[in-house]
Amino acid sequence: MNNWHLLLRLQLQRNKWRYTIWLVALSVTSISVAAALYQLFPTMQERNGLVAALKNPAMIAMIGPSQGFEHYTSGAMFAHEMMLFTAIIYAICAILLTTNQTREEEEDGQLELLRARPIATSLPLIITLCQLTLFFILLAIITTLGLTFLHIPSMDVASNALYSFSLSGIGLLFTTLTTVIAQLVTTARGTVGSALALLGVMYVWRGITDISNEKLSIVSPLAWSYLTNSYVTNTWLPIVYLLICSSVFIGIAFWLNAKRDIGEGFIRPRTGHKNASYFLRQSLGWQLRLQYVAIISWGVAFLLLGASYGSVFNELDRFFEKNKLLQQMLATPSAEQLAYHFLAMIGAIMAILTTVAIIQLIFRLHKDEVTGRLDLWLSRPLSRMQLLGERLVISGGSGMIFLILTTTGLFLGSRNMANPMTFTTILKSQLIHLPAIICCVALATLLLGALPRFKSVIWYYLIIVFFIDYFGDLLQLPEWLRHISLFYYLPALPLEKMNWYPVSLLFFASVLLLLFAFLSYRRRDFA
Amino acid sequence: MPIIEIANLSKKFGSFTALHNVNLTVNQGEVVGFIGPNGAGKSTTIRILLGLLRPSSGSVRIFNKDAFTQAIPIHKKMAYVPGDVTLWPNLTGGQVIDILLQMNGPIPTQRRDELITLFQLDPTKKCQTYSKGNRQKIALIAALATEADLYIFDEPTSGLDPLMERVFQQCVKELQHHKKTILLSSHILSEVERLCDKIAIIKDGTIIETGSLQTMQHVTRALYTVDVQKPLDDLYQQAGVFDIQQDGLRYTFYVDNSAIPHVMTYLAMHHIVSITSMPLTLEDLFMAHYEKGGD
Repeated sequence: MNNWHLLLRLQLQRNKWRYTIWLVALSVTSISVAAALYQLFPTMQERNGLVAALKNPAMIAMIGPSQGFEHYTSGAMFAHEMMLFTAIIYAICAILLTTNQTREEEEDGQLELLRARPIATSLPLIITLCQLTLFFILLAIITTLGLTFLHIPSMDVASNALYSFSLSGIGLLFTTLTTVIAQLVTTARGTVGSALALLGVMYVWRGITDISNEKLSIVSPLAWSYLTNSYVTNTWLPIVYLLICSSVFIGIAFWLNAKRDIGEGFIRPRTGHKNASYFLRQSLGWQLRLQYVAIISWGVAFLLLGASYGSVFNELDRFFEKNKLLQQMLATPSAEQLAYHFLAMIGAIMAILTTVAIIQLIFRLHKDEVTGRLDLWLSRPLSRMQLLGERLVISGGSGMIFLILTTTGLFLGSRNMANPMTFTTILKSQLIHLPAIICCVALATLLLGALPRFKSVIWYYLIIVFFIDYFGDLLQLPEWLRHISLFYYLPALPLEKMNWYPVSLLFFASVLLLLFAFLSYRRRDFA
Repeated sequence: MPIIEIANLSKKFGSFTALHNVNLTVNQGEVVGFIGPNGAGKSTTIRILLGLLRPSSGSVRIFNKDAFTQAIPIHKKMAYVPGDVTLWPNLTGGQVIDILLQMNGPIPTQRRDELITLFQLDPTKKCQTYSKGNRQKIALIAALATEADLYIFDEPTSGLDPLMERVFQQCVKELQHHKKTILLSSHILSEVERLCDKIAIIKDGTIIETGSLQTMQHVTRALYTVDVQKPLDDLYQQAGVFDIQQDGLRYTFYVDNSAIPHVMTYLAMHHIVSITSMPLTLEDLFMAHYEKGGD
């Protein structure tokens, strides 16, 4: 056991950047959002306006309930809006870091090198748990201090500490849970997948119980984050649950670890089909098969986002009266006009997100190219044109489905409006952005075809466009700057009249870009 | 009839010259071994043959068609096994084999199943759980089950155990018997020696030697072991003698084939107890070439 400090040092050395980046990203997210929320909603009146928008089943299912609706202080607002979301991020962080140090190391054969040395079987696991426990404690301390230094009324040290330690408790819980899964499952991919699936189940369970029977939410460990009711009742008991549960997981992990052979697990990896189905044997079929998890995940996200934005419409009138900031963002104060203005704004945001989704699906082709997966495929009579063409059809088709899912979400979410919008109105507000979406996608395809090394340029462009479109009205950005966004050229339906001129221009540009994209993709060297 | 014709092929990546004036012809029914150290340009040449990379200059023709612009018709009659097989993690081995085979027309199910049994592959496992050797088997089964005229193997046995290596060699012999054309890049010299009619040696992006093993032996050297009664003090001064190792009264040294008559005359004048000569192995050939240019 006297090699433990060597191993700990080695692991810390190896992971220092990974830890630093997560540490900074997670603490800065909490601290900056707390500051931003306080600036956006400084008075009780404005925050009560927010409560009106957030206190509906759709929102509660998504971001969680709050005990502080009656007295919605800055702290209560912060914990309500951020706790569950941040807890999920902490859980994902814990799952990724833990898998990397357990199953992934084992899969890569690094563990075998270590085990060949005079160290105890359990030592690598102990080192992993020590590191991550230290990491989450440090993270909680930094977040507590950061939040306290903001000096926001209603956010005192004790509450900040409870908030930060609840999150770190969730981190620890998922760390220990992942170590258990890493003993059971034999691959790193499987470990991450199973852990994320459990996280999903916990999220959905608490979503359903929060709106039907709140008492049952406690069954989901993920709910223990917001059940501490930081800044409202400050209940420390759920932290005790988190610690007990983590200890149990640690015990199970060590027990299983001692019982199994290296490289083995208790659950044999699922085997699949011996042969490819008719569907999979089609070129379009296998391309779709490799993408469908990503497509479904994006689809669910768009439906949920649409529904949550949609539910905001129900409270729109009251919401606008009370929120000066949003009034400023939408300069036309009539009930229907306001709704339409908001719809146009959502349309622009969702259009950018759809673009991101489509491009992400297309760019996977480059990953397949760089990792060499395509070599074997392209040594067959499969042309690059067909490969890229089919990828565009799948990604573009998925993009259309995403727009329709967003529309469906918005439509279903906004049923309680005084004058509900029709499906067609909403659909038009989404589809009007299609020319800009296609143009951005064509640009991305050209990058993939001609300059794959510079393909991330499109992400920077989209980030800039997002800021310009999102804050354009709010910050009164100059006209020339707003013209950087391709989306700005299109009429904001249903607020403005249809204008075919920019639509046809963007389509024409897209066709040209795509033409060059295909020509260069066919001619260039494959990585 | 030439199947592969590479003429004055050069390939540059930026300012780096990966291939310089490569010439290689592979005729119908030939099994050509393609050997060279890492980074010599073997894989670059093969990737150009596959139409994945574009030649900077020179011409590359397969079945008398341009390898880059007419890749699709070429690939209909070609099969390939990469040295490092990477696959999508969430498909099974069996599914990958089927998808690859389907691209070349109807799946020869019987041949496929035979090969799966021969290589002892479990096709129901997901690709993420296969070892390097098993991933290689997948590529081999898909290639060998394909009814092609040209087979290109890029270090195909680097992850296989000796037993599977022998299965592979058996399959290549079978293809050879059916007058198929094969380009086999390899590090395993005994394998190339056993299977190939012709050898091309590539080094630093240039083919430094092509020809049959027999023709190459004429231009190179062989290893001699001689036991003598008295020390051979002036052996060092003889022309065409290299790498002399002395162990008591036993000498081991290389002799250039061109210098054999002269060295034999010299040895005959001394009291020789025994003399053995080793037939040239590809290994020696390989080494001889690297030593010559190894500055």
